[in-house]
Amino acid sequence: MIRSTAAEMAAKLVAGEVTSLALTQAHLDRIASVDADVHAFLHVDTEGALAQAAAIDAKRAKGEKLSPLAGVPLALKDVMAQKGIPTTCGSKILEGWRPPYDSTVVANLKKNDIVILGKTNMDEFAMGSSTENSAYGPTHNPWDLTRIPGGSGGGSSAALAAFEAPLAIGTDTGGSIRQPAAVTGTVGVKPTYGGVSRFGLVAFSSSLDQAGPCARTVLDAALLHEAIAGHDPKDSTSINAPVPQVVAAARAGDVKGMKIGVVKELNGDGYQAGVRARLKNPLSFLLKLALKLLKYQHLTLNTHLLLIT
Amino acid sequence: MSSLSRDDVAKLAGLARIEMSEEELVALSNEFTVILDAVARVQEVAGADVEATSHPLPLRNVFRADVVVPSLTPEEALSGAPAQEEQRFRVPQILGEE
Repeated sequence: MIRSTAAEMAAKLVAGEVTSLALTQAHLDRIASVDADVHAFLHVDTEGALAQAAAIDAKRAKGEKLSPLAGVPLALKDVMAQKGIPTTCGSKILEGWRPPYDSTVVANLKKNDIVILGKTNMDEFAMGSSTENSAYGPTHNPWDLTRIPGGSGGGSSAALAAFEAPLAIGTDTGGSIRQPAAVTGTVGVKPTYGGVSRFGLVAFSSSLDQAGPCARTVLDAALLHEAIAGHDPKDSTSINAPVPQVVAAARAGDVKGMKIGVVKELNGDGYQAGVRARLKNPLSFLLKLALKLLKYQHLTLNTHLLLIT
Repeated sequence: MSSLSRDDVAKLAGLARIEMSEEELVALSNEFTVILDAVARVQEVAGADVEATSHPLPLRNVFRADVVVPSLTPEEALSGAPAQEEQRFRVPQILGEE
């Protein structure tokens, strides 16, 4: 059950084949059995998650109209404030702090009845790319425990890859969602800046930070994005416009006529043969779908260094 | 090419009240030079035809109506305070030390 996609879990919940309580318990059991090795979680809210799941089952039993992901569990990066739940950002500085309020992302998750299992490990205050720089010890890559899960959101990406959660929240300033997704074979998107509220997200670099969806499939990421995105008066940089219909786009899968930018430097020195192949194969696949590939030069590494300095 | 000398870094460290060893001062002054070179490269790319942006969104003066909405109680707001007095955060004195 825990190896299904979030969309499949949601369908089974709707069909009454499984309860949110059972689904949540299955993920808590998985965490109990593998997280000593993976160390994706800093805090597991067993009681809160089970109570939330039971409440959602009760609503469903009463025939209430629920959101598409209602009852599906999720892992939350420890950089987002959740009322009453320890929020450390992977740092001892915040050890013991329990926020008196919910971040907007958490409020949206609760509104959509997505069950929050616990808080995931990260590089301290999101400054890092390997999740080795957490004050609470490193997270390991479930594919090979001797390797890193990427960072700073390595806890969220590892939780997905280890089937400890089908959905997770990440935050991305200069790659902290996308790079861990790449390193663990999962899906992660940095939404357009302003697409998801930053209220209650502990800042790293305010004009670049952006929360976004992490999942094991593109459709699951799209479903989660539509749940958390939207205008928020509490974030002055929040986009005051309708959320793009990414779920419909993910279901249609129509990429004809799109232009895709390819960073020229990715053909340069320093990449292992396997990494090159992983880049080349999807590119030739995309070309077959009659996409236009635009090669462009990139200054990311330097500019990122500048922007966060 | 601009650079920061060891003495510049020592002055900055003093302002930031960070104690640094001689090796750290030299290493950091080298790192600052790399960063300043990166700034110079961005200036090369951004020609006169590229308008300066301070922000990724074309937002300007985001206002809202001045209405009272529910907020945290003083008890909730102070729930994480290591020390408090008269419904305020109590912090160590930093001015007027003897």
